[in-house]
Parts: sequence; structure tokens; C-alpha cells
Amino acid sequence: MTPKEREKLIRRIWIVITYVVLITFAFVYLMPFIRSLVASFMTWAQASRYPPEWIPNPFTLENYQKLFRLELFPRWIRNTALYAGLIVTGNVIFASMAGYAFARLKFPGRDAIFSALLSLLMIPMFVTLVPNYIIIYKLGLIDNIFGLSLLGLTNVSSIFLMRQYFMSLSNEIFEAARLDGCGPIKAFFYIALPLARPALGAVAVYQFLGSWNAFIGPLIFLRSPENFTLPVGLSFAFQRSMWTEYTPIIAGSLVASAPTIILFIVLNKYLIRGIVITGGKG
Amino acid sequence: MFSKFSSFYEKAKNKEIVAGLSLISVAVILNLIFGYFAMIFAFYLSFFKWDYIGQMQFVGLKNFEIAIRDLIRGFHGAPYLLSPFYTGLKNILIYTAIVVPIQTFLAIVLAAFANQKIRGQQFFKVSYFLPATTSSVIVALIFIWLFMKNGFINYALAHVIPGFQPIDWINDRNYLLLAIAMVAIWGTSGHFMVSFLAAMQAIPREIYEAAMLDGAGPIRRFFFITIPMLRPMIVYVVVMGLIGALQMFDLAWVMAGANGGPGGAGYTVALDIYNEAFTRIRPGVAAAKSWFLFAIIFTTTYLFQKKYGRAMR
Amino acid sequence: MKKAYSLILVSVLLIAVVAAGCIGGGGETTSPTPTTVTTTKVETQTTVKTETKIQTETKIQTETKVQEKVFIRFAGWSAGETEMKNYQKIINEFEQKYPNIGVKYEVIPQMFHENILASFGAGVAPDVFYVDSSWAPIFIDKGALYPVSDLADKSFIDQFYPFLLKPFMKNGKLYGLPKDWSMLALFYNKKLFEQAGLTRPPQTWEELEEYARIIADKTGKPGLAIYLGGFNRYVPVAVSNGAPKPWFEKPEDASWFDNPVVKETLAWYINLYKKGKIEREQQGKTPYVVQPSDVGAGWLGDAFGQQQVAMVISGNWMIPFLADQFPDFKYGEDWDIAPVPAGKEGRVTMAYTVILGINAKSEHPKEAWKFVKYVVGPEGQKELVVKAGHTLPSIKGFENDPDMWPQHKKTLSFLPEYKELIVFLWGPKSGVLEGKFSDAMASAMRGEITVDEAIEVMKQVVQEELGS
Repeated sequence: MTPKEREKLIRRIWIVITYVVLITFAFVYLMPFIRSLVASFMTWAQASRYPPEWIPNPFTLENYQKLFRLELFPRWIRNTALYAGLIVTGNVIFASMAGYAFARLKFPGRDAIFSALLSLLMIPMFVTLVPNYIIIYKLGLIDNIFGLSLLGLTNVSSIFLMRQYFMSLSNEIFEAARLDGCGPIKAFFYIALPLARPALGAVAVYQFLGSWNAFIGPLIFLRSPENFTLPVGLSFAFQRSMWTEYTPIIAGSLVASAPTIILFIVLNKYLIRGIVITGGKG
Repeated sequence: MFSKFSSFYEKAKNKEIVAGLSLISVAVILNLIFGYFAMIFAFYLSFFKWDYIGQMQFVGLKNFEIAIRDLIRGFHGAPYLLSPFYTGLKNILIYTAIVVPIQTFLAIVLAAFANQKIRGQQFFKVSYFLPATTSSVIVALIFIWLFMKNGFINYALAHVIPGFQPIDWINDRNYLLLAIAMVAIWGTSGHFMVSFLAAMQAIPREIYEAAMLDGAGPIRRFFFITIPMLRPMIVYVVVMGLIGALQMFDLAWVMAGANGGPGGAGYTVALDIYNEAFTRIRPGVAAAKSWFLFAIIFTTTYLFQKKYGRAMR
Repeated sequence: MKKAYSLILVSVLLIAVVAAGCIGGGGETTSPTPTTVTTTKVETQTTVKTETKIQTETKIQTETKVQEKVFIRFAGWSAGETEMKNYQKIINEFEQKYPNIGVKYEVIPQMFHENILASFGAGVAPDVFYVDSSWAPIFIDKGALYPVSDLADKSFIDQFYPFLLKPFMKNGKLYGLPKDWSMLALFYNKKLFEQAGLTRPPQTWEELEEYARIIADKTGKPGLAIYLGGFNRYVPVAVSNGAPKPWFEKPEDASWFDNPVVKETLAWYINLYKKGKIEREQQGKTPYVVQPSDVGAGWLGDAFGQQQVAMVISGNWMIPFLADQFPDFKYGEDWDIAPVPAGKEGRVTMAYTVILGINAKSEHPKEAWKFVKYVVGPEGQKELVVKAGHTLPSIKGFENDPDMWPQHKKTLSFLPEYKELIVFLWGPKSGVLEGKFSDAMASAMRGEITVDEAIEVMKQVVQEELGS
């Protein structure tokens, strides 16, 4: 075998391995979804049957109909979209600012403050429940989407992510800018932000995900059914104290996942098309 | 006053200070109000006995004593019912040791594969991310069904491993924690894949090209270029992974129940803290236990960052 | 540490200490922002008494008008949109009857009592809220509930079934009125019974086991499904055979487990699963007792509705579930209800109930009481309970009401047959004890520990939980 043919063979084997790995993983990751998707078109009588059946018979739209028959369903979608929008915007703006500052600027107490912020994530939420209750009530923000979003507007995990990302950028560009007399704020807007698109995309996806699916926060701080977000609304509509109507919840959670998936597909291309940094050029 | 400030501002170094402080201001203030107040309240509460309704009673270090007694009992082999805190701690440490390395590794690998220019790239990326888009409660419910004795997972494993006996994962005290760990990995590896994908975009293509010219194959490129350049992001994923895993609550709650399942095999520290706060109505003890957990999380993340996360400045 | 950092820390600490001093005992229920109201100002002024306050808080989003009205907050968990609409209807009727009282209905779908406790901690608990019987002692002992007996007259209280009121009494005062209740009953599949040649439901616990075996042998389907554990389902077996009702308040109360009747019946109940499933499967026969997940079901109702088992002992909540999720499985033709089997000393069943409690720290207890009276009184119960069909009315007199579902009516008709109805409450730490007892029982059922070991564990649990 000539070296060139050998190389081609190795390459081909490699591609096959890649595909095998990718497809197996895809199957493992997708299987529960396929199951949910199929179950959402079944009656519970059939979906709960064992051994599991894969073809809905009778095929029924009842679960989705139950969803859309809910008077409050459109309201919940609207509330959740509002909540997610606020959280994503807040995080993208403030986390990028703070992440940049923690990564690239020197100021007194920088590392101490960052550690302090990070440690906020280390307390289980049941203990912080009562004090947060107090603050929210005293501020009059209970049962209010804006109030609820204040809690997560500047999530430390976003700040952390942006900081790590900014830390991984090469120094040359920033050095060059500094030598050119560009102040730190200017550098932020004209250099750091444009380069940060992939990370901002990641933050947006994470925060959208977190807020769209958020359950505990809205459960505790929202009170009127008309103000609920989607996950809490689904629980309200289909969970009784003694039993749960599972199939509408499965259908509902699929509907709820749809926007995140769409967002991911859209932002996905964005993640890849991020500007490739060339070292050394300004 | 203002002239003093403006002359202060002129010096470049001070410019940086002002800029830095102002950029972080909103984030810090918001977190101060909604995070710090709560944290300090929790610290205060750990020295008191309270039932939410009456007055708080000062008890000094008694709550911590209760937690420590539990740990000592458990260490000397007391059964789960008498030392829940110890059981919860032990379980969550094992769980974290399984979940964090595997999920980090998988996330990098998946991101690397998904970053290749191959057909169906979009499809694979979306598939791996899909689990992360569902709420953990729904995921847990689906997996309970999959883990049943005659469920899909046993079925698949029986086909792959010769001589495999079906396991009743949820009810078997030896395997419940493993089952929960598997669900967690399934759910979160795709989540962190996104971070690595983003970070990979920042790696200059020239480095890869130079390496390829030097004859380095894909595996060598992966281990000697990709991973080192991903270091800051690896720190992020591991630290967030540690913080998340050590505090895991929702999966255990759905799959093992508030009491942690058979023999407390699925009992976690977070479950214990919840029980302290609301089932045994001892929020002071819950706060004290939270501080133990906090100390563990803080130490592990600090050590990891120190050892591995030297900034690539 | 840098000076600025420590300064911030100290000031936040100070704020925290001050704030913490305000809570815990001195809290008031904050009134919500007023909503626009249709009653004219003149009308409210004439009917208003001295207890009203002027509300001027404004919300960020909505526009408000200032009205002179009392507002009370009412919180419950959910039974779906239909219930919410029913409550809205009742609230509207109530508000028309009492124009100076406004009611805000809040829903907390999950983790309800934990949330209420936390809101007490913040001093902002609602004026009226649900309390499940198992949580009631906690709230009553801590003084969180207003004694209803001080507000109601005897004739009103006498309308309720007395056994439902007992758990909520302390020192001669009543702390809440049940809004509805459910009881356990035996649900059986008539078709499977016919197949097995059985003509009537089992009357005793021994017959229950026997019938389960016959059905398994003749039809290939397990005769009975039970929960693995489920202490509260076991208690009727013990008490109907002569054991005293379980009540655990002091560590010494663990001696309940030393009672020979308890030991015998607990062994029998645990062996139901050990013999009925584990041994049967070892012999290669169809098990006659299973737990729901053994047949791929999520709970007893599922197992019964899918017709995987012939009998389950469950409560009234089964009825709307079956009607909704398994509409082809018809009451009367396909399945029926019988009273819980009898032991040596008669029949005993469990009662599960929820009360409407009034916040002891409420600013408007009298208005809150008026609302509670309306909801748990005959008008409220007719709409919310009888017609809705999820539970049984807690007021006597509805036994023959035309709006009551026939299935529920049937369970009510069994009332006279029961020697005792035990409300689901074992003492101040009911919730914890129930959970741990059930765990121990489940462990024994799976054969991990022996029955005697399980009993030892349960005694230890009592001593542990009630000793500290």
C-alpha cells in the first residue's frame, strides 16, 4: 500500500469511528425524547402500558388540546417569554461587563470580590428562602414577574463564564489597544465585546434555558395563576395532590422545550461563526 | 472635589480602577441584595432555634453540635436512619466523584466531535443539547420508567454485556446512586458542551494548521492543543459541575423520594438540609449544615482552581 | 482584607441583624395592592365599619384606585383550572354578599406547607390557608392558627362530622374546619371477579388475601396491589383487629409496637408482599400481591385503571381519576366499591382531610372567618366539593344530594358500617414518622430485613424523633 493510500484509509477509518460514536451518543441522548414525543400523542392508558408501545393507538391530540384549552396557557407563555427576555438581556449586559472587568482589569479587591460572588452559589436555596421572601415582600415585588427577574438578573454563573472566556483571549490585541491609548471602557466596547460573541451566545442560551424552565423561583414568588410561568402553570393545571396527569405534562414540556431548541439552532450558527482570532494582528 | 477626581482619573492605572469598579457595580449590588443578605441571614440563623412562627432562640453552637454528632455516629457505622447527615454527605461525595469527571470529559469530547466539518453536524449538536432543555423533574420521571426492572436500560445492557442480570435500579441500594448519576450525566454533558463549543471558537486556527503540517494526528492535536487552550473553560465547567453536583436535590427528590430511597442510598446532603428546614422544622440546624456543605464546596473549588486554573494571562 | 470590603460586610451584617429582629413573632400580614373594584365609593362607605384601612400602595405595572376595603389573602394548592374557576365563582358571590371584603386567591402548586412556613418566617403568611391533617399539629402547637371555636357558634360546628374535628382540637378549642375529606375503600374489578368465579367482595382481611390468590390462579392477573411501605394503609389492619390507634407524642409511645396485635398484623401485612409476590414468583406462579411498579403502573389508581390488578384499597381521589383517565372502565359495570375489610373487632378506615386555617396573626380575623364560613358552609361545599366530585363533603346532610357522584355516594353509605374512622395523623411529627415507618416496612417487604428488625427500627425512629 502506498503511503498516500494508507493515509486515505486511516482517514476513512477515522471518519467511520467518528460517525459511530456520534450516532450512538445521539441515540442515547435522544431516546427519552422520542419516547416523550410518542407518548404525548397517546392516552395515559396506553402510554403507561408495559411493555412500552411505540405507536400511538389511538393517535390522539387530546393532550395538546387539553393544553390549549387551558384559558391561561397563552398567558403563561407570555409571562415566561417576558421573564426569559428580562433575564437573558440582564445577564448578557451585566455579566459581560463584570466578566470583562474581573478578567482584564486590575482594581483593588478584584479577586476577593469575585471569590465572594462565586461563594454565593454554594449555599443551598432552602436556607436562603426566608430572607429572600422578606426582601421581596418588603419591596412589594411579590407575585410580579419584574420582581422575580431581579433575583436572577446578574447570575454569578454568567459572570464566571464571561470571565473565563475573556481570560482565554490572547493578550496581544489588548496590549496593542492599550499602547494605542485606548481606555479600558473603549476596549470593552470595541474589542472585547465583538470577540465575545460565542460566549455571549452561550450565556444567552444558558440563561434562557434556566429561566424558561425555572420552577422553584416562580413557584415561590408568584402567586396568582395568571402570573405563573409555564412550568408552574403546567404543575398547577395537571398535578393534583394525590395524582398527576402525566401525558398533558409531557406534551406541555415538549411545547415548552420547543423555543429553547429553536433558539439553540439559531444561535448555534452564531456560535460557530464567531470571529476567529489571529494572534498578533490588531 | 470634581477636579480632584478628574486628576485622579487621568492616570491610566486609576482609569482602570474606576472602569473596573463601575463595570462590576450593577452586578455586585444586585447580588449583594439578593444573595448576600440571604447568606448572612443564614449565618445568623445557624446560631438560633426557630420554628418560623415564634421568636428565635439563641442556642450558640448547639446546631453545629447536632451536625457533628451525626457525622461521628455515621463514621462509627450507625445506620442511615440515625445519621442522615453523614449518609447524605457520603453519598453526595461519591456521586460528585462519578459525575463531574465524566460529564466534563464527555462535554469536551462531544464538543470536539461536533466541531468537525462533517455532514449532519447540526443534527448531532442539537441532539446532544436536547436533554439540557428539559426540566430535570420531567427527565427524572422518564428515567424512573426507563430504569425499571424490565425497562429499556436493562434491555439494552443485556444485549451489550454477556450474562447481564437485570437490575432493579431504583429499588436496589447498590445501584440507585449510580442510576441518578447516569441521569445527571445524560442531562448536563450536553449543557456544558455548549461552553466548550464556544471556547473552541476562540482557538486560533493557525495553531492547528501548524500542528498538522508538523504531522500531528487528530488525537495528538486534541490532547496537546485543544485541551490546554481550553483550560479556563475547563475550570468553569469543573467548578460549576462541583457546585451543582454537591448541591444536587431535584433528581434525588424525584427518583429516591424525600427519604432517599432504599436504605437511604439516594439520600443527599441537599435532601437532608431540606428535611431539616421543613420536615423537622429546624431551620437553624439546616443553616448550620449548609455551612458544612459550603465549606466543602468552597474548599474543593478553591483547590481545583489553585492547582489547575492558573490563568493564561 | 481591603478596608472597603470589610466595611461593606459590616454594614450588610448590621442590616441583616436589624431585619432579623423584625421577623419571628412580630410579623403582620401585609395587605396586597388593591385591585380596581366595581363597587361605587358611596356604597362602601355606608357598609364600612371601623375595621377598614385605606390602601394606597401602588404596583409597578397596573393602575390602581384607592378603595376603602378590607383585603384578605387566601392560599391553597391546586386541583386544576376548573377548581380555580369554581373558587372564583364562590369568591365573587362572597364579595357581593360582603362588599367591604375583598379576597385574593393565591395558589402554590407544590411544596405548599413549606412555603407557608417560610412566609410565616418572613411575617407575610396569608390570612386563610389550607392545612393538611398531617401538618396541623405543627401549626396548632406553634400557635399559628386562630381558634375557630372563638369565632363560630356551636350550631355551625355541629354540622361537621365529629371524627373529622377531633385532630384539630387542642385544650378544648377548635383550630380549623375541614373543607372536605376522603376515606379509604376497597375498589374491585367486577370483570376479573366474575372470571375467577367470585360473586361478592371480600369481607375480612383473610378473605382479601384468599381472594387475591384465587384471582391470580384463575385469571393470571394479581389480585391485590399495595404500596411497598405505606404505613397509613396498614393502620386499619391493626386497629380493626384490636390494636389501639397509633399516637406518638413522647418517646415512650414507641411501646405501641410492642402490642401483640400490632406485631401479628404487621407481620401479616408485610408477608402479603413477601408471600404474595416474592415466594410466588420463586414457585413460578403469578404473584397475587404486587406493588404498582411491578405491573408498570405509577400508583394504585393506575394499576387499577389499567386493569392490571383486581383490587386496591385507595381513597375517593381514585374516583375522578378513573372517570377522567380511564373513561371506558365504567363504574357499576366494570368495577365497584366495597367497604374496607373487617378485622376481628370490626371495620376501620382512614380519613384524609384538609382544613381551612385562619392565621393567628391575621389583621382581619373576623373577615377571614366570614370567608371561611362561606367556603366550608353548605353553599361553598355544594359548589366546590359535591359538584366537583373530587372529595367528600365534610358537612353532614349531603348523603342523598342529587349532585353527588354515585361513586362518592356509595362510599358515604358505608359510614355506618365502620366502627372507627381514623384521621391521618399520628402526632406532632406525623410526616416524618410516616415516611420512616414506610421505609422500614418497604425494606422488610423486599426481604432486606426481617419483620422483627423492622419493628425495632420503627421503635428507634419514634424514640429518636420524639426524644430530642
